[in-house]
Amino acid sequence: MGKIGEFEKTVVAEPIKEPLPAKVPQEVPEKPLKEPEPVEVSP
Amino acid sequence: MDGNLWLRSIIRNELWPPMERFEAHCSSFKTTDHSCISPEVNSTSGIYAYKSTSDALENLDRCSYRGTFLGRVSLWGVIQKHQFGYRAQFAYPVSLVFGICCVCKRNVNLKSEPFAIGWASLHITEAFSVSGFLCEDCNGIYYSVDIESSHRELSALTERYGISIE
Repeated sequence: MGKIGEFEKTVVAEPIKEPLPAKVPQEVPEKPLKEPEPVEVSP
Repeated sequence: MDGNLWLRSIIRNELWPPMERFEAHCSSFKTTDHSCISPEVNSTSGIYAYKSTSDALENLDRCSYRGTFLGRVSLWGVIQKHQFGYRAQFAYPVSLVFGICCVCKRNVNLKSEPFAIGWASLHITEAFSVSGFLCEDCNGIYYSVDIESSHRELSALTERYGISIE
């Protein structure tokens, strides 16, 4: 193991967002927009 | 293991999970205190990192680290600050910068110098075998690993972890 020297102090670092790489979003095939079907209304 | 390359802790022999934080464990394996937060002040636990490249190059044990990579990491959570480095609770790699040749222990800049990665151990004597990162000269003498395929392997690794080569 390497040497990191004498202890100095304790700090707490709490990032608002953890520094992880952004996951690549998987491509979702776009759904074709469906036209609304006509509805029959009885008088 | 699964056909993929993994980053691994040299000291603890634990794999770093891709796209997830790596977490330190308490130094005592006998502890039953699950609320224990590593790294503790008076212990050797934690994820180790140096403050700077020069601190790393001056202080690390080149025999233990031969054949490995040096890079930058993000650290967070509880961090014990030391003179030349840190022991942290959480970490994730940011980039790979140098490789340390497993034969001659020379530092090789990944961005600007040629290198190779030899995964099969080469047994020179009973007491001396090498595997891992190689400088161009030692690769030519001992391995003759295809440099192009080494670069492809490293690219696949960095892509899987979402990290860069600096």
